[in-house]
This record gives sequence, structure tokens and C-alpha cells, in this order.
Amino acid sequence: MSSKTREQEVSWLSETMSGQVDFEQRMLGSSGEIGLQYLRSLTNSDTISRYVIVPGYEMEDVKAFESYISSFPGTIQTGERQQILEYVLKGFAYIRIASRGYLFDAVKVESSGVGEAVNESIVQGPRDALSESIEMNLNLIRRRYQSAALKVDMLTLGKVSHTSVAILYDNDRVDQQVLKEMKKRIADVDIDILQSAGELEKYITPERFRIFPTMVVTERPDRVVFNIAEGKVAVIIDSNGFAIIAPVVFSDFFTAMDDKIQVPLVGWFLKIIRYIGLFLTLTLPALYVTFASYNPEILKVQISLLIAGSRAAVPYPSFMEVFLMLLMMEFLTEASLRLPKAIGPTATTVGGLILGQAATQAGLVSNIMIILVSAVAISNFIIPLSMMGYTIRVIKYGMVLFAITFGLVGIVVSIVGLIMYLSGLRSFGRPYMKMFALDSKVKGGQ
Amino acid sequence: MKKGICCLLAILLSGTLSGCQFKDIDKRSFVLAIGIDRPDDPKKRDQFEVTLKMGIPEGDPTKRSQESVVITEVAESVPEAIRLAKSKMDKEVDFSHCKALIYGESLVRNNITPIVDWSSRRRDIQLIMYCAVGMPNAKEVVQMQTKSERLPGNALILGLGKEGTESPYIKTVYSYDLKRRVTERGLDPIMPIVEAKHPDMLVIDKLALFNKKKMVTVLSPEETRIYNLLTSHNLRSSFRVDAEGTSFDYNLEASKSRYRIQGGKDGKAVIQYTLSGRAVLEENTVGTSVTGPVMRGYSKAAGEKWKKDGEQLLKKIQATGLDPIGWGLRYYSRNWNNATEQEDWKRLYPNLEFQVKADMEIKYTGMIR
Repeated sequence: MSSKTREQEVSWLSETMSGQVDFEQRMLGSSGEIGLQYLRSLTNSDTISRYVIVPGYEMEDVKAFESYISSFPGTIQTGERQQILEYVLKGFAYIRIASRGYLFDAVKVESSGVGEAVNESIVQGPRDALSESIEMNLNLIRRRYQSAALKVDMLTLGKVSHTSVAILYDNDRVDQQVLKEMKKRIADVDIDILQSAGELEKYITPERFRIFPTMVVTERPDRVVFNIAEGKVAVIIDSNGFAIIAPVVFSDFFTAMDDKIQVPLVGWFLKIIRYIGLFLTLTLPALYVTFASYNPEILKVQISLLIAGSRAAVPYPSFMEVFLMLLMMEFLTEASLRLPKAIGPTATTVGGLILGQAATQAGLVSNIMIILVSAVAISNFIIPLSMMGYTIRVIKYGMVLFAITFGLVGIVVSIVGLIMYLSGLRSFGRPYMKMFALDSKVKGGQ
Repeated sequence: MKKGICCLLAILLSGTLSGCQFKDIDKRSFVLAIGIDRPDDPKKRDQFEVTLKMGIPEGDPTKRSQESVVITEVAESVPEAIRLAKSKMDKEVDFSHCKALIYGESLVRNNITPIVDWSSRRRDIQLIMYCAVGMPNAKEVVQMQTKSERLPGNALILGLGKEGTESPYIKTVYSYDLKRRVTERGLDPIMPIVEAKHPDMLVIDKLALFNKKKMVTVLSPEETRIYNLLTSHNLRSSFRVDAEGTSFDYNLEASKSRYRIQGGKDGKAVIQYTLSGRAVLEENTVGTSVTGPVMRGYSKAAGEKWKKDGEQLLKKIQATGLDPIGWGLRYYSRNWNNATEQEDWKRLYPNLEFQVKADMEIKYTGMIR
């Protein structure tokens, strides 16, 4: 390559990067035959100065420096413009030595480090959460899964963001069909910016009206490891502390990681409690509507008269009352979620205490309703994975609608319908409601 | 999309089909007890006097919500009387919590079948409602507000059922049972009698025996207790027995009663009752020490008393020609001569013989301190 083309190459990169304040361009060596170009904000300047600039002057021979640079793991020799641009944007330094180009790994990672799991906190067991850096996440997972069978497939998604995505699976245990399907779906994703696992989850689920999550999004490395060992596929993406796990069954959403740690009896008890919580949060508002407006004969006479008495001052029909209070509860939950930690408790106090107390005293809602709404809210929070929690939060309104139109029959029908829907649902071709079935050979579906 | 619209339409349209109507609980007034009499007015003897006791819900649950409304209406039929009562109330009359139906004495001496039919035919009256005879009339029983009750009519409901008191003098009769007894062959209706003779208490200790239509005879409290012993398990009661020159009381811990119908081929049948029980000595009037032989003597005496009382009661029932225990039904079910069994039983009944075998054991001396 003549010196002219070399000059062209240098000018090509600097032209593309012109106007970038953090673009650095240096000539090294006594005669300046070594060119160094990188983005300051993405690279670790310490690494650059210690491993590139200092040896660049110390070494007498350019050849020796070239072999020194290429000996680093992660150094890539390339001449392709597209690749050079891509890697420089990632944080690599482009080093040009005697017409040959090298990409030197000097990536600086700013991440929050290994933190504690906040969304899925548990009593006992590991507290680590996945971090924002994919390397660290791989480290967290590999450390827990020390097997050669654990395979990691890396790829890049997002036309602008170029986010690295890793597909993790145990090669010996994984369901090959699911793996193939997962790879195909991820390859089909066509977006500009990918920033979170939830986003990716949305893109790789088939576009269809969907009520229940068919993939688990978790922040716990131990859950990822546990599921990989079960033959599932995990996907982690860079710059986001969450992993996607597929395929899942309904009961996965009701498993907390400390169920395994507890004594079996306690573990079972906790599981049963969660299902009771699920049932209550789904049906209580709907049942209130039926009891108060359709079938008061189901309750004992004492409770019937109590409800009737506490409703005596309420001007609107029972379902208005239910909707009003449930909406209030949703507002409260959302408000305390988004507010800064310092103001959060104020919202709950104002909402829970003052609103609840005042609403009953003003005769807008009945006493029983307040008890019921708090029971609904609390039992909703029992569900360990928030995605399912959100789904259940929405579905209960459907139940209330059925209760308004059909009474108790409506509730029964909607429960039956829900079970039918769940039974028909597939997660990566695997049955979603596989609770008691042994090894189902059901195929097809989504 | 089209499918979705169709689904939505189906749901919306079927809303018009729903059977029960949407009515808020505070717009209903719950009838807790019904009483039905014949009016005293001689001109209206074949009409019905219907008394409805309705609870008024109290807003504050900590208060004693004892308030109730009692409405009495006279009409040609019970539904007609209820229509009249409805126009007096500001809220919709709801029978879904009606747990007691009291038949007045004037009615049970006449004919109960229309009321039994009405109460089992209405959708919103539950079949687990208690039925009883009210004396001197149903209105007074229904109106009675006892001091112990917190909810209107609750004393009546607790008294008639087994939820509250477990008196051995009360026989619980449900509406479904009454309906069955009115129509079934070989089984006749019975109902406990509720008396409003005390100023603020209801007395339930007698049993009325019916033929299919009206009351025929009344069992005394003592007989009612023996009746309960013969027809139920684990009766909770104490009995007093005179034996060996003293008298003692024992408390039944467990009891069992079985019977079988023997013979029948040669025109004679024997009904054999086997009673067994385990009891605790409760009171010994003479201060003698209670030893094993004494206990065995007491047990024997207690058994003999049961035998005597039981046979006496069974003979009394036989003399009325009624079948409240269902011997006839038992006989039909154990004999395969379908064509003639009912006639056979009719012939056998007047000559029935009763044998009661009482196997009584007073096992414990009670607490000795």
C-alpha cells in the first residue's frame, strides 16, 4: 500500500469523525509511522497511555511494536472501513502500523457494578442482581454455572445502538427446537435502538393480542442459572440488568428463589399462599359486585346486613364504587412507584389513610369496600415476578365487567375462560399451563 | 377483527338474558322469617295471614342492629299477600336470607300442603330453610324479639337449627325434608313446635307429627327426646334413672341407634331397635361410692329405662297410624315385590311389634376432685 492510500485511510476516519470533540488522533514513533485514533469518552485513557503510547516510544523497531500490539487478546487486524467505524464507536482504538490496521481493545465500561436485587428481593440466598454490563453478567452466571456445556452466542442488535446480546444455554440440556426458534426470532428483530430486556421481550414475542407474559424477565443471576440448568434459554443484553428466560410455564411466575432454600413444608405453604393471593386479587372485586348486587344469598345473613348497612349511604351502584376505589388504588400504587424515595411515603399516607378514612366517612364508599381494596392490593403484591403482577392487575377489571353483566355466573365463566385461554397459550411452542402434565408432546401454537 | 366484534356482540347481547337482575344490596330488604296463619276473622277463614319479619341494616357494625320491621298481610293466597306487603315496603322484598318458615297452629290443623309447595317452588327461598309450627300462632312467634339475639330472627334460626343450641328436645326440620315427607310414600312429615309462651324467650321442646296434610298428634318433651335418641346419632343429653333404690343422672357421650324390620312373610312384622350408648355419671343422689359393680347396675337400669320408654313411644306412634321415621319406606326398599309391597305394608302396620334392645354403658364416674 502506498503512502497515499495510507493518508487516505487516515483522512477517511478523521473526516467521518470531524466535529466530534472527543475524537483523538495522534502520531507515534520517531518518524510518526504509527497512527493512533480513538474516541476519548469510550476508551480507558490509562490503558492507551500505558500499553500503546509508552511502548510506542520505547520500542525501537516498528515491527516489534506491531507484534506487541497484535499479541493482545482482543486485538483485531482489519482493513474494512465499516468494521473499523463500528469498533471505534464501541471504544476500541484504531492503530495503524505500516499500512496495516489494528483495533486495540481499550473499552472503558461505566456501569453500576454488582448491586443488590431490588425487584425480586428475597429473605435468604444470594443477593446479587445482574449488572448493566454484559461482561459482568456473564461473569456472574459463569461463576454459578461452571460447566463447559454452557454456551454463549453473542450477536448485535439495533441499527443505531449496536447493543450486544448474548444467548446462554446448556448445550447438553437445552431444548434444541426452542433454541432454534429463539435464535430465529432474535435474528428477525429489526429496530434502531435496543435498551432493555423488556423491549427485546416485546419484539421477540409474536405479534398477537397477548394477556400473559410468555417469557420471564428477571434480574437475578441465580434464577437465570437455575433455569439454564432446567434446559431453558436465557438472553442477556448489554447496558441492562435484566435477563429474559424462555420457555416458561405459568407456575414459574409464582416461584421465588427462596422456595428452594426453605424447608419443603414452608416452601409449599408459600406457594399455596401465592395461588390463594392470585385467586383473591382476581376475584374479590368481582365477588363484591355479585354479592352486593346479584346474589346476596351466598353470604351469611350477618355479612349481608353488614354490607347493606355500610352501603346505605353510598349513592352509586356497587360497580361504580368498586371501579372508583380500584382506580384510586392503582393511582396510589403508580404514584408511590414513580415518586422519589423521599416523597413516596407521603403519597401512601395521604392516599391510604386520609383518602380511605375520609371516603367512608363522607359516605362515598362502604367500609367493606376499603377492606376489600386493601386486600386486593396486598394480595397482588404477593406475586413474585412483577410482569405477572401487572397482568393480574389488569385482568381483574375484566372479571368485574363480567360480574356486572352476569353476576356469579359471569365470574365462573370468566375463570373457566381464563383457564381455557391459558391452556391454549404456548411459550416457544411449549404448553404454558404445564403444571401437572408430565412430558407433553404438544406442538404448534405460537 | 370481525371475530372480535362478533364476540363482543355476543357478550353484550347475552347481557339481556341474565336471569337475576342487578339490584344493589341496600335496595333490598331481607326477609328473615315468615309466619303463616289462618286469619282470626271467621269470614276469612280460608285466607292466609302472612307475617314477614325483615331486618333493617344498621350502618354502624359496632351497634346492636336489632331493629326489624314486621308486616302482616291477609290475602287469598300467600303470593298475593306478599305482593301486598311489597307495596308497603320502600325496598325490594328479598327472600334469599329467609331461614325460618313458621306454620301457625290454625294452619297446621287445617292443611299445610299449599304452603309447603309454595316455599319449595320459589327460586329465592332456600331449601335449607327451617320449618316449624308456631303456637299459639305464627305471628307471635315471628314477632318475638328475644333479648339474646343481635340480629332479628336470629334466636329462632339458631334455636331451630343445630348451629346454636344443641338441645335434645329439638328436632331440626328443613324445607327440603318437609317437602319430601309431604310427597314420599312411607314417610310422614314432622315439625318442631315453637311456643311464644314466655315473654322474651321461645320455647322449642315438642314435636308435631303430621299425616300428609295436617297435624295429628304432638309428642311431649320427654317423648321428643326419646324420638331424637331413636332417630339420630350422638344425642347430647342427660337422662335421669331410678335404680337400686336411688336415682342418678348420666350424661350421654355417644349414642347410636339402628333398626331393622324382621318378618313380614306371614303377615306379622317386628321392628327391632338396637340402641347403644356410652355415658358419664353426672349425679349420684346418694353419697355411696361408685364402684364397678354399681356402675354396671346403673348401666343395666339405664338400658331398661330406654327400652321401656322407647317401646312406649313407638307404640304411641303406631297408634296414630303415622310413619314419621320412615319404616314404610324402609320396608319398600328391602322388599322386591313391587306390585304388592304397599298393600302388604298397610296390612302389616297395625300389627307391628316393637323390640328395643338397649346396650347402655355408663363408663366413667365423672371427674372426682
